[in-house]
Order: sequence, then structure tokens, then C-alpha cells
Amino acid sequence: MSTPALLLEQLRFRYPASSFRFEFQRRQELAAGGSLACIGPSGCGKTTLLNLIGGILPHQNGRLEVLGQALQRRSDPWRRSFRLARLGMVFQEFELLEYLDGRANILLPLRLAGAGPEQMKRAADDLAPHIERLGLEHVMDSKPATMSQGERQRVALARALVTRPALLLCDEPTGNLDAGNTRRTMDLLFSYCEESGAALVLVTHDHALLERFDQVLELDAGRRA
Amino acid sequence: MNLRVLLWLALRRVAHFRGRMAILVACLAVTLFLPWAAARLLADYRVSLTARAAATPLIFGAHGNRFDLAFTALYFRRSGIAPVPFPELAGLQALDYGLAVPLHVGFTAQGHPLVGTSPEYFERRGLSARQGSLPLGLGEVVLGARAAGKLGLEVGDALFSDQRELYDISVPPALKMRVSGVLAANRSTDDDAVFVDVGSCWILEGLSHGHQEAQEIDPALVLGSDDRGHNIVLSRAMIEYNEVTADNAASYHYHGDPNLLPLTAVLFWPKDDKSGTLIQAQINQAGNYAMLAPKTVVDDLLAYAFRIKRVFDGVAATLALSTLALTLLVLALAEKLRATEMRALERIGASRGLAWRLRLSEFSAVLFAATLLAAAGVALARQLLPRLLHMSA
Repeated sequence: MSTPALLLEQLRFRYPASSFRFEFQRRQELAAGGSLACIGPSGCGKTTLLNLIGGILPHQNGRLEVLGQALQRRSDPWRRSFRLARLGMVFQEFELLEYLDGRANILLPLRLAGAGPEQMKRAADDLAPHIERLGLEHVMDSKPATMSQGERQRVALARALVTRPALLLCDEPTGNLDAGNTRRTMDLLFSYCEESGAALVLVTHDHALLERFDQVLELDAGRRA
Repeated sequence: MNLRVLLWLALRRVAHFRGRMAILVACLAVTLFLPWAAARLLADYRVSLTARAAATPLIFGAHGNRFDLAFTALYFRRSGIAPVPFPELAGLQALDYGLAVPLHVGFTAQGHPLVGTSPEYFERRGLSARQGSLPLGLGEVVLGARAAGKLGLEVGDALFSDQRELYDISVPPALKMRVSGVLAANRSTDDDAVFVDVGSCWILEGLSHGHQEAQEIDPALVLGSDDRGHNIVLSRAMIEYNEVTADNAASYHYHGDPNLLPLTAVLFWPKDDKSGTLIQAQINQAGNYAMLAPKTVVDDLLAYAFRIKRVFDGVAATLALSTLALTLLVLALAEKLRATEMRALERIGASRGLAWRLRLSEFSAVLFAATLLAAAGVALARQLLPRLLHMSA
């Protein structure tokens, strides 16, 4: 039996300066190459769950294994380099650097990972079809301030793919897109996963997308202490 | 995270926000420049003033403001100090304590100080001729290096003294002088001066002149004479020579009491320390004239200047503190604006240290640029200000 891409069990997390408490009382497993949609009302902890899986937030209790790695007790630097090397994340706020153009933003994770010029060029070549598919050729030299919301979101998506991650974590990646772009984006995500064998965890409010996923996880409203 | 990526990110950000970075650099550069330039200029000023003063052991002159006497004798500044009668020079030499060199200051030629002195002056100041010769004859002029350059004159050319009064015909006319030598540059006030024999200064004072023999001139210009034909009184309409030539040099003569021919000061180089102390004590105790050590005068002046500098330093420190506080405020505000950027880097997976190294490298780049700019400003100020303020010694 192959290692699951994701294993969640009895997870608990509490923000230090907040009364919000995230609790996941079940067990959830996602196989490599599988897809999981995460839904639930606003404030239920969907983004928190993605941040826990991505190692941005350290969980306090429970079991969390990502690509066969138990994240609990892993140091912050380890989680950062793991995230950079193995995970691709699309954030709700896109998290683009305003002083970098589209191309530089997309290639940023590679630079941060210490890629050399050869590797950068190869990645840029590999990425070209995705860029074309996402309709981003015209914003490659533009700064985020001059892009539309949809363009920024697609640049963020392209950035998540640049390191060829084994697990994609997407926080409402189609939230600002029209129907056509939503379809294209989802096609791209699924075709990437199919080609690379990567798993996909996606947070969404769009129930029309759910039928394409292997699993759907519905979270309850978050608890307040 | 290697240094290359860090620098790449820092430079991209600096380039993107170049306007506000330029303002920050300029503010920091000004804050650095002011105290730095003041300190450097004062240090330069001190060195040059002290060097020239130290190279001039003693100055003999009339009582009065000692700063006026010292700075007139050292820097050829026109001042209202009382003259020293010429025979005092011989009196000093007769004491046999050292070398006395006459100095007459007050006239100008094309804006350059016209300094009446003797050839020993050049020897004592270590001045040598770049062109021509140094010994001064009546009506000859030796040009300082910078003065020669500015005036575009060479040996054999003529230089007119500046006319003191245009409408008063009783005042001697401008004197046409022949350039007999040009000094090599020595980066001092001497470079800007033009040197003549003290006799030429007396011609300009109107105490000496040359003209046709009184017995030979047009009788219409003779207003009267004694019975023997001596002491002829001539009309003002008679034209005096305005140039000393080989033909008319012998006709130059003094009127009035030769004991009253004026000098501005006498520079004195004693044979040794003891001679210096003795002559200084002797002259100052006699009380008729002052014999001062310019080094002491300059030190006193610098003490005033450095007291003022302390006030200036206080102002600069306050300015630096307020700029520092303002910079910290700007950085704190910038930090707030950069929260999104830092969060993005962190979420993508950049190391925690990157954010700090990024901030540090940007601030270092800003500080480096500001320091470079301030250093360039200080270098420029050191080049330009001494000339503008006539600070060169």
C-alpha cells in the first residue's frame, strides 16, 4: 500500500491571541494523486486547515502526516523547506510581491529554493504551456498592481506549480474568476495532478466544482473557547 | 537562501521603490554630510592655518587688533592697521636676532593682492620661480602661480595695478608693471598674490614718483621756485610716469620724510628660539610696537572656532537624533506596509532569517548609498568651499 498524500486525525489548533479553536475530530486520508475538496461556512477553519497541512501553522494536538512526513515536532525551518520543496500553495490573498513582475513572482519559489540559472530556465520552459493555458503571457512583465484580481489569482496558481509539487493546497483558487476561467483553472489543476501524480486539496465555496473531486470534506463552524 | 537571492530581492525592491528610497538616501546623506563636512573643513582649515602660522615665527607691527595684524601679514587681507615706519625694519635687523622681511599690503592688481616685500620673502616661504626670476626691481612684478593662470600672464607681459580713484587726479595713477617671474604653485595664499618691491608700493601710495627733470619741463607747468631755482613747485597737470623703465628709473624719487615711508608689517625669522624670545620680549616691553607669534594668535582663533564648532556639533547631533527618530518611524511604518510581503515570503517557504536579512541588506544599501553621497559631498565641499571662503592658507 502506498503512502497517503495526507493523513489527518484528531487535529486541534488554537491561535495564541484568539478565542478561535480549530478541532478536527475525525480521521481523513487522501491517497497520492487523489483530490479532496474542503467546504464549510466562513470561519469554520478551512484556511486554518490548509495552513496546518502546509506547515505554516504548527498543530498542537493530533496526527498530521503530509507526504509521509509527520509534521508534529518538526522544526519551523524544516517545515519551511519542506513546504518550498514538496508543496504548492495558492493563497486566498494571492501573496504576490508587489515589486516583482509576473514572471519573477512565478519563479520566486525556485529562487528561494536556491535554483541555479539552468534550473530556472528549464522550469520556465516547463511552465510555458501552463502560462499559455492560464492566459498569462501578457502579464509576465507586469507588476501585480497593474493586474486584475483574476490575473493575480492565476499568477499565484502558476507560482504554486513551478516547483512541480507533490501536493497542491489551494485556498479558493477560483474565487475571483469568471465561469470560463474557473473551468480552465480547474482543468489545469486536475491535468497537472494527473500528469504528475500529485494530490490536490482545494478549499471552495463553489459546490458546482465538488463533483470532480474524489473526496469532499465538510467542516463544521469553528469553535470559540 | 544564498546571498545572490537576497541581493536580487533587495535590489528589485529598491529599484521598484526608487523614489522613496532616493528621499531616504538624501535625508540620511544630508544628516551625515553636515557634521562630517564641518569636521573635515575645520580640520583642513586648522591644518592650513596652523601650517602657515607655524612657518612664520614672528610678526612685527603696530599695536591694535592682533588678529588683524596676524591675518593681514599672513593672508594679505586689507585691514585698517596702522603702518610701521620703514626705518623700524633697519632697527630690527640691527638687533641681529634674525631676518626681518618687509611687507606692504593694501593695493591690488586685477583683483589680486599686491604684496610689497623683498626677495628674502620667497626664500623663507620656500617659493621658487617656475618662470623668469625672483629678485624684484622697481616696477617689476612676480606672480603667484594661480594669479598667473587666472590673468593669463607670462614673463615679459605687463600688469596694471588697480586704480584707487577714478576722478581724483591727485591720487597716483595705476602703475604698469612688468612681469619678471612666475612662482611655482605651493597651495597657499601666495599662489593668489602678486609680489613687488616695497618701493613700487610707495609709488602707488604717492610717496614716490618719477617724471621729467623739473628744469627741463614745459615752463607753463612750473608754478614757482626759490631764488636758486631749487624746490620747484609743479602744476598737478604735469604727467607723472606710470611705468618704471630702464630710461626713467633714475628719475624716481621720494618727497617728504623718508622716515615715514610705511610698511604694513615686518615678518621676522629669528636665528633660534632664544633669539625669538629675546626680540619678542624686547619689542613688547618697549611698548611702541607689537611683536606677536602668529601661531599663538591662530591657536586662539581656532579655540574660538572650535568652541563654535561644539555648538554646531550639538545642533548636528540633535539633527542626527531627529533624523534617526524619523528614519525609525519611517522604517516602522514601512514595516507595517511590508507585512503582506513578509507574510508572503514566509508562506511560500522562505526562511525566517530571510525577512530580517532582507531588511538589513536594504537598510545597509540605503546607508551605504547615503554615506557614499555624503562622502562625495564632503570631497566636493573640501574642493570648493576653501576657494569660495578664501580659506586656503
